[in-house]
Amino acid sequence: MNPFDLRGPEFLLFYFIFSAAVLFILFYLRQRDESPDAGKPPLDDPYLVACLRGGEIEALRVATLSLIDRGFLTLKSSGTSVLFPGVAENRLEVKDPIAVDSVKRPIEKSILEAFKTAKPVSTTLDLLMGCTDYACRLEAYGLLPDPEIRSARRRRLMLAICVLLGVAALKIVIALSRGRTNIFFLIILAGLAAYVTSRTSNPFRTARGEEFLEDVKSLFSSLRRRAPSLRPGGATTDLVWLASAYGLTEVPPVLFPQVTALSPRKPPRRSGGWDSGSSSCGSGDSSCGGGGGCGGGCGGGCGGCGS
Amino acid sequence: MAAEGVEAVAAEAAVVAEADTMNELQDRVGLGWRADLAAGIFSHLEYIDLLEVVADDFFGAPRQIRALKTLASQVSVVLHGVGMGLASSVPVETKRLEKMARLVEQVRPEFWSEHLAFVRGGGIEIGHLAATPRTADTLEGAAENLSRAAALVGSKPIVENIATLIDPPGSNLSESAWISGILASADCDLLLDLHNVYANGLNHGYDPKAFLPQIPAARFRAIHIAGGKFISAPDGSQRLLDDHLHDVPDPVFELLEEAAALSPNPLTVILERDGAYPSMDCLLAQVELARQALARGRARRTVSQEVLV
Repeated sequence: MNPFDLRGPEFLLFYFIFSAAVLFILFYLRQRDESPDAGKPPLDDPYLVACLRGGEIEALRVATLSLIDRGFLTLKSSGTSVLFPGVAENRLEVKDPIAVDSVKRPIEKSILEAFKTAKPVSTTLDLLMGCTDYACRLEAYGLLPDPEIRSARRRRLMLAICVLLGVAALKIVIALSRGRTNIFFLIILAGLAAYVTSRTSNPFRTARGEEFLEDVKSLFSSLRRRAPSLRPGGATTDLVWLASAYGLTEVPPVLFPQVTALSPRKPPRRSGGWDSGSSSCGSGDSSCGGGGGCGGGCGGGCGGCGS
Repeated sequence: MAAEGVEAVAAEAAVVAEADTMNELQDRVGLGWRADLAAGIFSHLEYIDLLEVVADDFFGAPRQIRALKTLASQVSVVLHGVGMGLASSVPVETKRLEKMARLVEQVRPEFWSEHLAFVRGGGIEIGHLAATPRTADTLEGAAENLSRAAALVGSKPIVENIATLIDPPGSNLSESAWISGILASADCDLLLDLHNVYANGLNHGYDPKAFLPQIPAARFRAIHIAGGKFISAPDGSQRLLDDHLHDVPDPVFELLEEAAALSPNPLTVILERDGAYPSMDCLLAQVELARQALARGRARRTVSQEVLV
């Protein structure tokens, strides 16, 4: 049976199944190629998990939340607005200038340096992007896609879209040559198939990264259940692991009101998706100074940190 | 001549150093893995040598097993079973042994352990680690169960002594004789639960310290420490309940010192806590007390060996 001889509705059904098959093949190839065991990162740093779950900005948010909870940072409103709901108005400042010596993780030092004077939360955290080496470490473990994986994904996507649109185009040509002009639904379906394929072919994490994050969530599942009874004040590390593994949305604002000022504005897409393909993890310096912006992506490391 | 003297001293020092190295036992202290303690454990991995995971929680749960393998990639893991009911004349259920075999195959722990307890009869689960009457029949049944377990799982379990509030009716063997008999018959090592020894000693009127030398110390391989609370028996007397909800009492650390003084093998010590969790600092303080007790016991052992020499 030649599928191109199928009539309109039958071909649309065929094309729908064909598109699903293409998506499945892309998924299968990702699972196959992105699962080699490159070891597992040590689970001694919650911010690494936060970065795996939501990107570097999420690691910065979780670290900021932890620093506020532990009393190193204090939230201030700009004066006219309510403290938490006006996210853009909220400012952070270090409580004690020598606090930077009291923390050990570079990401926390970077944040404390950045907030030595009162500054807006979100824009200052955005400027700190690129100050940590978490993304590079996760790429090295095969948990986030490295340039090679991103390139392979891009090639497959191009091929898949060519196949999807090519099949649709061929059918349209055949239909038109046979004097049939009811091609509108096929054009819509082909466009939809290409869109869905492009949206799903480059997930934030690799297949291994997804599995590892699932494992971490499983190990910390009890924290999610106990979230309403967590103790503020930095007495335990429960808060930082909860926020890292499950996200700020799982942190109860009744107990930790400062979380409202740190809530993410949009889902993570690492460095704008395909555009980050040229980055490399050459630099490992993660000790940023404060204030200025940091070099972008893994390749930049911390070269651009200013004052 | 002077050079020869220096060489001789150096050679003697090397021999002494080698002997010291051989005598140095690699004892380890860890915690029982409980999901509620996850954040504290991962934040203090440098103070924890290993984790003991309750195997039954992972039977037939592929995703959880994968998470357990991730846990095992971070720190040494040993498996601890609670539901086999080895100490019975009834054969252990094959399906349980197969589940344990699959888990051991996947996780590859350093060892796995189970209780010398009775947990079901006639298909009814009693939901408790009950003490079996200590008789020749149950000794033989336990040894057979251990042989089956070893054959199906591929490795012998380390078996744990249990606590009991009442002396099992119908017993005609002492606890030490019964345990020693099983260890000898099945050629197994012992997971010595010191709080159980302490509780049984208090509840049944014997000296826990005198109990330890009655079991071959060469069989000591792992040790549990835990805490419990006193409850009133119907006759008004006090009994110590091994509930794992309290801090380890000092007498248990003293027993740990005794065990370390007796044992010729490296020991793996696990602090068990099943609820009413204190701060991680408090748990780690008990881990440190265990290390100190081990060190004291090992020092005594070294001294006694030197005296013998």
